[in-house]
Amino acid sequence: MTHDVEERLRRSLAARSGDVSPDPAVWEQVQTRLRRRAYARWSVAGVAAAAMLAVAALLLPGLLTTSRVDLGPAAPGQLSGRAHGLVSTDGRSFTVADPAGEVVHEFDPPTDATEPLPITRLAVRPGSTLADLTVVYLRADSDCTRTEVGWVTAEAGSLAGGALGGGQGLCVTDPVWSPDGGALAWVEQASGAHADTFGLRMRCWGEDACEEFGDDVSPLHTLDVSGLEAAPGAVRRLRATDWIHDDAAMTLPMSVLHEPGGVRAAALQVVRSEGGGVAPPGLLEGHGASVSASPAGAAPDDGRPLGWVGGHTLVVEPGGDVVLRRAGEPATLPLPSDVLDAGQADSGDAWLSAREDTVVLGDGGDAWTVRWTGDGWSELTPLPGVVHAAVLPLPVDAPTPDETPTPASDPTAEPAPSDGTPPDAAGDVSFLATDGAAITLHGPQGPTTLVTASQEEITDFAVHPASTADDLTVAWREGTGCDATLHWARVHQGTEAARDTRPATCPGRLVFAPDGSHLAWVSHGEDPASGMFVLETLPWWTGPYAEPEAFTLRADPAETAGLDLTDWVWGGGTGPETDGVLLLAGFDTHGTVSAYSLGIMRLDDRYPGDPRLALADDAVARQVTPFRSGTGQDRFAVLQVDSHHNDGAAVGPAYVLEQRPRGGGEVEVAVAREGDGDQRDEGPVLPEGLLRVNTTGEVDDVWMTARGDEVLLGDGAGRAWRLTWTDTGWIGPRELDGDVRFAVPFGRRDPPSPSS
Amino acid sequence: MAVVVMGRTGAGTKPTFADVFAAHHGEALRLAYLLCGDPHRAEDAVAEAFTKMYRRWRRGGIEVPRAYVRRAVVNEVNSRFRRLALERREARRRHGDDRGARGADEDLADRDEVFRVLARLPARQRTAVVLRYYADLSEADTAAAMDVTVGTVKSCVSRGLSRLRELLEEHEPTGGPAGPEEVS
Repeated sequence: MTHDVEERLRRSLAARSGDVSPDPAVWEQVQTRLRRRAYARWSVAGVAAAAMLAVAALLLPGLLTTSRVDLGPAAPGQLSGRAHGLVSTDGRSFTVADPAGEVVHEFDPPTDATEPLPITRLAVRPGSTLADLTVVYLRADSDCTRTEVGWVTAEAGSLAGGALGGGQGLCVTDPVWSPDGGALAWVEQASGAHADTFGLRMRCWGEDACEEFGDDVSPLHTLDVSGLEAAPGAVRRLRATDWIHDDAAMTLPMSVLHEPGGVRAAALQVVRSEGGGVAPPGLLEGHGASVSASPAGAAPDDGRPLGWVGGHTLVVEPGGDVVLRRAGEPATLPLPSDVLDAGQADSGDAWLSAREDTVVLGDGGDAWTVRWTGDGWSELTPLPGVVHAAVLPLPVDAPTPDETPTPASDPTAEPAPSDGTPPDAAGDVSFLATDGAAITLHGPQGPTTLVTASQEEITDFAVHPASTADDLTVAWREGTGCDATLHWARVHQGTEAARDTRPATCPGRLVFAPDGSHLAWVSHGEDPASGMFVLETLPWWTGPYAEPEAFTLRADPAETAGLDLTDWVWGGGTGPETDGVLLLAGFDTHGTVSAYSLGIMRLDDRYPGDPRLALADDAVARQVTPFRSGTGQDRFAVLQVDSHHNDGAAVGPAYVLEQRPRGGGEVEVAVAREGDGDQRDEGPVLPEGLLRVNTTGEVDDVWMTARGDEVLLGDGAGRAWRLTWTDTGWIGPRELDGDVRFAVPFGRRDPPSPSS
Repeated sequence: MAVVVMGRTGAGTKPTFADVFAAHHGEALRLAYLLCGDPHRAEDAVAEAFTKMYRRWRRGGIEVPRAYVRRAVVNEVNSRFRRLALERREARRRHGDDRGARGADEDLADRDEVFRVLARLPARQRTAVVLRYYADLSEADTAAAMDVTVGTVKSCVSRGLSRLRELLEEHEPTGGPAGPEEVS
């Protein structure tokens, strides 16, 4: 019988497999999903970048009047005549009204509280209809020390809802939805002594957006950016008022309540990154141009914009009147003083919701609605008992221009090479170096100081791979041992655009991932002889955006007195799940160096969007090559692998600084290049005295860095040299000018001609 | 049927993702359909599997696309989250009360008793059976596609066949096994 079942099963499956045939529509589905998710990733990356800009805006208020953002709403004539529904709250319940004003639905959001906080704000998810509605709302007490962010979906007579965020001692301001409804964001502000610290919270929403973050976990995923700090006392409240994107940029219009000075409108703008991935600094617009005080149609001297939504702006005119403006229309709507005056506006409680031709606005206590008729404004109509309201989207029969996800480039096309080489800078810049007091860019125009040390001597630094000569991010270490501190800065067109410090315990050498996704280092404890080390990896977009992950590494103290990162390679792993390797150098008490590799995995592959890393299953640091010879005669002091390759590209070449015993206790020092396969090019023996050799025969305090065919090396005491590999052999060593404690090649990949 | 140009592969060049899709999506679609019994769900699962595959493929992290696709399809079809979402979507499409309504998959399945009772097996058993008896995978390859051990595959296949036999006997109490003519 079993045999019969097997035969019938085979026949059945073979026959039924003919029920379906390949359909080009599936390919179209794949392309559509890739485009949509490219947008989703861009949104996430954009928030991180926006956070940086918020820092710039808050610390440098002058930037708030530098430029403008073109909101570009659809022409009013195309939209007039279509009416919107309205969702409003009286602080306790929600009321849904159709375009004619008829109430079609009333409901209370689910809550476990016996005395729930009053609802103060709501935001309707794009794509909602009268019959299928999702609302995110805010509950807050009067002094904004206790807040709750909740959601409710009302569909076919059923209600579902839950909590999203908020808490005690936390002031939350208006949630805003992304145009496609795939994400929402809000600003949180600490209370009390930490009131100058803001956080931008973000959640994905819905099946499509959240599947990017793992199917079987939670439909909600936290993408938080915290630690935005304002100058003490400068900003009392920060609110996102809208979320806009066009082909190239995402903008979060913001309302900033200054103390003193009242409310100002601002915008955080982020330029879309290629391929929808991370948004490293080089892909942002200049920070000055990214922050705007003036929505379209309102020049700075034409009044003081308070905030804008959907192409509509509330403006305090020079005379003190508050008017409603519509982008591209000269006719403004003066608001009677009993609706909104400048004093109420400056309290920070005024709000605005608008879609196409329908606007609702309020002062925190009362609300009104008004419509653009095509050639003017209708009468303001009060909404009795309404605390806050939001305009429902039009029925979704076709995406509006604002709601069309940004088309990605052909998702099947090979991504542009991204090996960390800034194409516009190729060949223009030589290297970055530090003399301990500053980090300097040495280019064709001579040296340019990028950053100066905060307090201690700069002892190490790493350059973000996406850096260009005009927009460069560098992380550095000041001091040595467990007193060392970690710093980073972004330098845009010669000016520091951001600078911060990060906590780190006894950090070693700093290394960026080849794609710039993480900064990493190895920390050792107070007792390096314990053999315990900690690998720390800090997720990085336009700067660090999350706490570092820590992985404990255990070594045999007898063989490993020190351990340092030397490089990071994507690809090159041995296991099927291994995405890359970290290269480490271990030092024993005799100065002998051994090189190790450590397999790592990106959780992003398993849970897209998750920035964390994991050690590969077989992550036992293994010696990659027998750098200690069997006789113990040869010793290799420094290993540097040029790993600026992405996506599984080949690793190499590798450069090895080695000591060659010459007998009689003498040691010569040389650089060797290991290329593809077994190729090994013995490098030049360095001139006597170029590098110090200590009494035990080991090269002391030497560093070496490499990129492509450029090798820099130094003695750790201020002298450094440059070697260049060509098809016909080595050029150099040539001594670098000045006091160079550490240096890295920058912005040059092509091998120079021998004549150079 | 319309013809879609999915890209070209020159001799010695790395295939494009479109090439990979063209080479494997037919097989993936048939496998997905046999696992879930619904052509629409199968298309959805295959589209999702290739969508998720793309990012890894772009970084060169897929050495054997065929095996990767197979595993991805199995995961997608059996993803509880996706299944529930699709069921909700389908329920909405049917406007609420769909008691008594019949989907195209049910009509199809009625024509083939074996295929119909196959749908009543637990997902794991059904997956193991389909991979072994349709895709003709070895136990080791089946285990890799399901991300389980070989022992689990053996157990699932054995139990699945036993259960199939019981179900067929329940539905065919007097007759013998269905002949090829019943498989339309």
